[in-house]
Amino acid sequence: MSKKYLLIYRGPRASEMPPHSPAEMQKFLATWGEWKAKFGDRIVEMGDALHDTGKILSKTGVTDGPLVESKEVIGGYSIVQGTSYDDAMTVARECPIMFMPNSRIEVRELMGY
Amino acid sequence: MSDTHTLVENAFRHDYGKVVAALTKRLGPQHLQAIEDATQQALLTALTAWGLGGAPDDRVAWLYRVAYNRALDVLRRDAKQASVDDAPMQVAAAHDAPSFAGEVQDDLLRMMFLCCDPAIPIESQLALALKTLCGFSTEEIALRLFTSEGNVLKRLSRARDVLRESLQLEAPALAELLPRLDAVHRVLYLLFNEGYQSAQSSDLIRVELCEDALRLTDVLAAHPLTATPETHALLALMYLHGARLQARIDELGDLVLLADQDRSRWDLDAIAQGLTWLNRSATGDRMSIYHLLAGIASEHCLAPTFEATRWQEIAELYQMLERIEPSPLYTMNRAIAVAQWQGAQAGLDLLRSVTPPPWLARYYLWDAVLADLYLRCGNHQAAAVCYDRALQHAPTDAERRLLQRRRDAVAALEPCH
Repeated sequence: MSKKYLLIYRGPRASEMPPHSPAEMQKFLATWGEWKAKFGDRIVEMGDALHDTGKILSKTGVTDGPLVESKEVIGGYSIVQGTSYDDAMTVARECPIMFMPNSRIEVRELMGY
Repeated sequence: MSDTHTLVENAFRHDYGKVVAALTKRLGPQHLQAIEDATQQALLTALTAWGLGGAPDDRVAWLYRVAYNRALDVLRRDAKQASVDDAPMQVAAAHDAPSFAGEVQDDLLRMMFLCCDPAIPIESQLALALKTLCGFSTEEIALRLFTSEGNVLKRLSRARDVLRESLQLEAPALAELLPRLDAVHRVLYLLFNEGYQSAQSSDLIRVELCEDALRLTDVLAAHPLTATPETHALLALMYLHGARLQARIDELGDLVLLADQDRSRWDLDAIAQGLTWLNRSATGDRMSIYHLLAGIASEHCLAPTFEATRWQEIAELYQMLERIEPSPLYTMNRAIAVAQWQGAQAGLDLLRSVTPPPWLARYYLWDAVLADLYLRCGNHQAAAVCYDRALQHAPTDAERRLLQRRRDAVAALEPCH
């Protein structure tokens, strides 16, 4: 039975990343296409990127968050499918995010079926 | 949304240049460092956003928006930057700027003139143009200008210092900058030459520089204020040289001399374009070096063979160049043409009548030309000495290999002693 997994992309905000030349960055961008081509049938949803800042709603009101000081932010997400965590990891391991400096992927199984 | 991997090569570099130019116009050249940092971060942001969601149709507008907000954040944080307090209004305006693509060309044009500030030393102008207009990193610039990264950083910071001290709240209007047009031509010509003259073993590196110089000169030619006869002549020159670029390198990456080039590999479309621009440049009463250089290039392009080239015309064009801008390099080229036209001895006599200035003493091409002429006059020993000297100073492997082949040929001819 195939299960769904949420890939949560965590890493430094752009302002904290070391500079790269535009030519290098363009090459990097192309690796997303390669990932998509290789795991197309396993990627349920490419997902999207998130802005660095947002709002946090709680019972006491609305605050800004995540804080600018926070070292790590959620930069985006995707949804993939697989038979097990190990299986999902084979897709996540080759995700371009893993090749960005100081970035990591949190993999969480979706409970709905 | 277009697919991310259909982006043309160099798109990111060019986007970088356009965004920096547009932001410089909006925020002022004194903030160049903050602008470049913000643009860099916008591209980093795009890596995830476009990778997941796909690249937007108007990439430059997207990057501009992200970079603009980023730059404002940084500038606001600096208490001294009171002049950008009206920023939120401008952000709103930036979001629905409809004629963005057209304006960007103007911004690029203005940026070229800013890079050519007479207070900035010429080598810094060139480095700044490569950084801001072409989107090369300091490391990539160092590779292209045959210098160290530290040196490039120094040149860039010198240039940024000048721009910062100009203390203008916004970039001056294009019309005010027009007196710098000569300097802009010069930098674009240098940029092209860095690609054309240097025998980098990597083909791509050379072609990229030539293409960028051509792309920027095209922008000059498309604007009524800068479409002067000199601009047209410079564009003609680039097309006519560019047409022969591929034929200058063989399959092994070695340089091929003009005499040995396969003329069927020359790009006929580019030659036609070059001749069209050369025709268009023939107005006004100023004969610029670009007119003459393009004239020489067109003689080569139109010659059916190396032998059937109109060497007399070429020699005369070089002589006119020497009158406008005396340079032993023009004399050297004239000597090559004279050798074809009136014989090797005449060429050698002309070249030997010039005492090369100290800055030329280590220029390998001078010795290489001298060696060739000696060889053709039958003086093998003098030729060998000159080839050896040229070999010592040849800057790249491709040039060394070419010289070594010729040096070996001389050794084979030399009588035993």
